[in-house]
Amino acid sequence: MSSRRKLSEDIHDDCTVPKKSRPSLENTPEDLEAAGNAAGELVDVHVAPKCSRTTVSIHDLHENILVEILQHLDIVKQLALQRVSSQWNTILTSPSVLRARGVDQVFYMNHDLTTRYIEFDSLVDRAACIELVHLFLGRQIRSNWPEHGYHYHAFLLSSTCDLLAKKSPRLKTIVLSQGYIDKAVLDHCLPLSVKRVLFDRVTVCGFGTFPFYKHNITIKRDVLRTGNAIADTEDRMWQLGAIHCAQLTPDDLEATFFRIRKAKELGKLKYELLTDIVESRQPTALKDGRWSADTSDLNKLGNLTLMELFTFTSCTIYSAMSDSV
Amino acid sequence: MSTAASSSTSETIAEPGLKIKVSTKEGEVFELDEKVAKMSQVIRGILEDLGEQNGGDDSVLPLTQVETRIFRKILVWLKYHAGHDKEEAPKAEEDEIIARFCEEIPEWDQKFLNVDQAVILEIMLAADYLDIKKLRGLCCKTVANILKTKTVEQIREMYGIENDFTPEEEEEIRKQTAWCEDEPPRQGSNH
Repeated sequence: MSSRRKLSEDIHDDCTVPKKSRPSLENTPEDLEAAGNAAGELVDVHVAPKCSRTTVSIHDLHENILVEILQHLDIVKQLALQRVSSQWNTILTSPSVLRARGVDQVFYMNHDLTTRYIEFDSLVDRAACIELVHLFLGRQIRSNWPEHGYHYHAFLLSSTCDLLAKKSPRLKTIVLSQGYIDKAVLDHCLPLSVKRVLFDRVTVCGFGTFPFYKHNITIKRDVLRTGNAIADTEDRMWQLGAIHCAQLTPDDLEATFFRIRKAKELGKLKYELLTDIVESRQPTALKDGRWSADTSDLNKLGNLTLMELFTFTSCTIYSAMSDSV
Repeated sequence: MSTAASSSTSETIAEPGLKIKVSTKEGEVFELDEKVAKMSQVIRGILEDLGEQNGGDDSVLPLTQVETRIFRKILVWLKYHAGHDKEEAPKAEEDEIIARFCEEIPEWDQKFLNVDQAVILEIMLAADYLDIKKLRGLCCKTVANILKTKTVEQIREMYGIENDFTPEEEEEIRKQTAWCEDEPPRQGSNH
C-alpha cells in the first residue's frame, strides 16, 4: 500500500461523520475524490457539521481577495453587486476597494457627474447600436488631472469597452487616447490594462498613436444611420485642417455621405456640452444644464479645440476607418 | 517556530527528502514534502527565515488559521500541482495579468472547486493566509464566474442575503448605476 493510500485511509478512519450523512454543504465530495484520483492523490475529505455554513458574508473576504474577484467582473456586474445589499454596497464602494478597482472618484460624483455618466453611456449605447467597426475613444475631462482623473478616465474607457464589446457585434477595434494621461499611469490601471487583452474579438489599441491621423476620414451615412456620431481629432489635426468633426443629428438622416474638412462646413452642426467640462470657457447659452449652439458659435469658444469641445459628450467614432486607412 | 505538543492525527508520507510538519487550527499535524510545503509562500518564508537546517527536526509550523478539513483539501490541490505543474520562469507583469484574467480554469481545478461556494470561500481564505497565489486566484475566478451568471436577486438568494435597502436607497443606488445597465435611460434626441 502506498503511503498516499495510507494517508487516505487514515483520514477516512478519522472521519466521524458517515459518508451518507455528511452535510449537504459539501455536496460534491465525489468530484473532489475523483479529482484526487485523477491526480493520484486519493484523499477523502469530509466536513464536520459544526463547521457548516449556510450563508457567506462578503465580510469574510479580505479586501485583496474581494478586489481580485471584482477584477474578473466587468464594470456592469461590479455595479450590480452594489445593489445586493447595503453591506455589499458599503464594502464595494469603500475608498480603498474603489481605488483597487481603479474606479475611485466614481461614486463620489455629484448629481452633475451622474448626469454626465448617463449622458456618456447614452452616447455609447447609441454608438453600439450602429454597425460600428472601429472606435476611437477620446480623452476625457481635463480638470484635476492626474490626481483624480486617471482612474476616472480608465473607468470610463473600461466600461465603454465593456458595453461596446457586448453590444456592438461588428466592433473590431477600440483605440484609446492617451490624452493628458501619462501612459505609465494608465498602464498600471488594472481594469484598463486588462481590458486591452480581454476581448477576444476586439482589438483594443494602445494610447496616443494613431496611424490614421493623416487620413481624411469618410463617414458613411449608411453606417452611422442612427446619427449622433462624432468623429474628431486632436489639436494637431485641427491645425492641419484635417478635421473630421460631425455630430450627426436625426436631421441628417437623409444624408448619405459626409466628408468634413472644417467644422464650420457643417452649417447645422449641433453640439452640446455639460457645463463643467468646459467650465467658464463656454460662452453660449445654457439650457437644461447643457450648452447648446450651432457651429456659428464655434468662434466663441476661444482656444477650445474641437477635441476639448466634444471630449466628454461623445465617443469619437471612426466608423469607416477601415476604408480610410 | 512553535511546536504543537500534541496532535490528534499525525500522518507520515514515507518518501525520501525533507519533510515539513505543519499543524492546523485544531492541532492536527501533517507532514509534507518540502516541495509541497514550499508552494505556500508563508511556509517557504518561515523555512527560509529559520534556515533549512532546522527543517528536518521535530518542529511543527502552526497554521493557526486553517481548519483541518480545509487544509486537507488544500493538500490535495498542492500535491496535484506539485506533481503536475511545470517550473515556469517568472512572467512579466503584463503576461501575469493575461494569465490571471484570460486563461481558463483547468479541468482538474474546475473539478476540485466544484464544491459549495462556502467551501470555496474557505479554501480561498486559507490559500490567502498560506499565500498560495495560484489557488487563491483560481478560487477568485471560480467565484467570479459564478457571480457573472447571477442576477442581483439570485446572488441574494445564493448567499442568503436580505435586501436591506429602503426603497429610497434602492432607487438612489439604481440611479447611480443606471448608466451601465443593459437598458440605460434614454436621453433627449438632441444629443
